[in-house]
Amino acid sequence: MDQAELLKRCREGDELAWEALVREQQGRVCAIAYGYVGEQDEAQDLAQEIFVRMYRHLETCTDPLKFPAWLASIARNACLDHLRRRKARPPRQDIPAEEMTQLASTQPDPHEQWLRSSRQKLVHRAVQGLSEINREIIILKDIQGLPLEEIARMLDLPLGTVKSRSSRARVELAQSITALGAGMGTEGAV
Amino acid sequence: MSRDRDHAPQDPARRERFVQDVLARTSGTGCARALDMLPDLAEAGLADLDRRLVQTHLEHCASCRAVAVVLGWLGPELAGLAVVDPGPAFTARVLTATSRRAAMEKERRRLTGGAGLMDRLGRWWAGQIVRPYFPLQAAYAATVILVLLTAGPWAPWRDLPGQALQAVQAGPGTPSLLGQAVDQTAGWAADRVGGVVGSGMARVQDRWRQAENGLGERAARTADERGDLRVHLQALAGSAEQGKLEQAGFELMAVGKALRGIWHDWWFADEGIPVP
Repeated sequence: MDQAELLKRCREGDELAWEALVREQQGRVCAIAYGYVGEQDEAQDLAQEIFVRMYRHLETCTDPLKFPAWLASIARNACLDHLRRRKARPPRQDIPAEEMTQLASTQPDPHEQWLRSSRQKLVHRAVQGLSEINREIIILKDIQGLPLEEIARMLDLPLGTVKSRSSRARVELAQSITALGAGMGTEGAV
Repeated sequence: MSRDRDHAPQDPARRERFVQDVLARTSGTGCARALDMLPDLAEAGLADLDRRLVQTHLEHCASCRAVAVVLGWLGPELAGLAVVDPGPAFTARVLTATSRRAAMEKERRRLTGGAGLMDRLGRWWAGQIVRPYFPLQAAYAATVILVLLTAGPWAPWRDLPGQALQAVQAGPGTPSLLGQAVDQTAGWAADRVGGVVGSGMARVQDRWRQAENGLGERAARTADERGDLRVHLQALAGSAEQGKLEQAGFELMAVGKALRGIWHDWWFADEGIPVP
C-alpha cells in the first residue's frame, strides 16, 4: 500500500484508510511501547493512547518519507509522559512483603507472550535494565532502525554523542545479557 | 630479549598469570579499551592492527569474549523486537477509541460563543490537572491568591477568614461561603472602582444565583468529594490556628486533590472518562 496515499486519505478522514494504517503499524507501535514500559498489558493500553494521539495530529505529518520518525516521536513522547505519571503516582495498594521476592525473581515471566524465544526474552529483560538514555537509543536505533540524525533530533543531543552512546549502549546491553544469562543458568541460550 | 624469554614461565597458566601481574602493576587490563572496540569488530569496522590487538585480547579474556559472542548475535535479535503481535482485538479497540474521539471532536466543533469557550477551557483544564505536579502547584497558587485576597488592610476578603473559620467549625448547613465571597467582592469593587464595574459585579451576582439554583444534579454527583473537602478545610483551619504549618501544608495539598476530584465529577463523570 502506498504510504503517501494512505496518509493523505487518513488526513482527509477516510475511516478505511485509518483502519489500514492501524493494522499496518500496530506491531511497531506496540513494540515501541513495550520497550519503554516493559509490561505487556501496560504497553497495549499505552499503544492505544499513542494511536489516539496520532489520529489527533495526523495533519502534522506532511512528509510521508518521515512517517516512521514522526510515528516514533509521537510514541516516544506518549511513553515518556506515561512513565512520568507512573513515577509521580506510586501504586495505590501496598505490595505484601512475601510478594516482593516474587517480583525480584529471575524466573521467566509467563506474560511475555509477545516474545517468541527465550533469547528474545533475555534481550528484552536486559534492555529494561539499561539506563534511561541507553534504553532509548537501543529502542530507537537498534530495534526500530531510525537514522542517527532523527534520533539526535528527538533526544536533543549532538549527532556525535548519539553515535558514541549507541556503541557504548550495545556493549552495556551485551554485558547485561551475559550477566543475566549466567544468573538464569541459560548460558546455552546465550 | 633472549634472556627475558629464557626466564619467562613456560606453563600457559603461569604465563597468563605473569602477564596479568605485569599489567596490574603497569597499565591495567585492556578490557575497557577492548570493550569500546567490540562493536566495530562485530561490524568489521576496525583497522587491521586494531582488529588483531582486540582478537589477541579476546583469546585470553573470557569475560570480554562472552560479550563479543553476544554482540555477534545481538543485532538480528534486536531487529526481531521491532514488531510484536498485539492480538486480533487490538485494532478494534483502537478504532473504537478513535471513532469516539472523532465524534467528540465533531460535537465540539459545533459549539460556538460561550459554550465553545467553556468547552475549550474545560479541555485545557483537564490537560493541566493530569500533570504530576499539579496538586503542589495548585496549592501554591491558591495560597498566594488567598494571601493577596485576605491579608492587608486593602484586601477585599479580609473579613472572610474569620467567617470561614466560624462556618467550618459550625459544620454542614451553613450558608455558601463562595456566595458570601462574591457578595463581599461585589461590594469592594463597587466602593473602589465605580458604578460600571459595580454593576458588572451585580450581574455576576445574579448569574451566580442562577447557577447556584441550577446546580442540583452536579451537586449531588460531587457530594462525596465536597464532604472530603469540608473535612480537609476544617483540618486546615485547625492546623493553621494551632500554628502547625507543616500539617497545614499537607491539608492544603489534600484540599487541592479534593478540588480536582470535584472538578472531574462536575464536568466529566457523565462522559464516562475515568479520573486521571
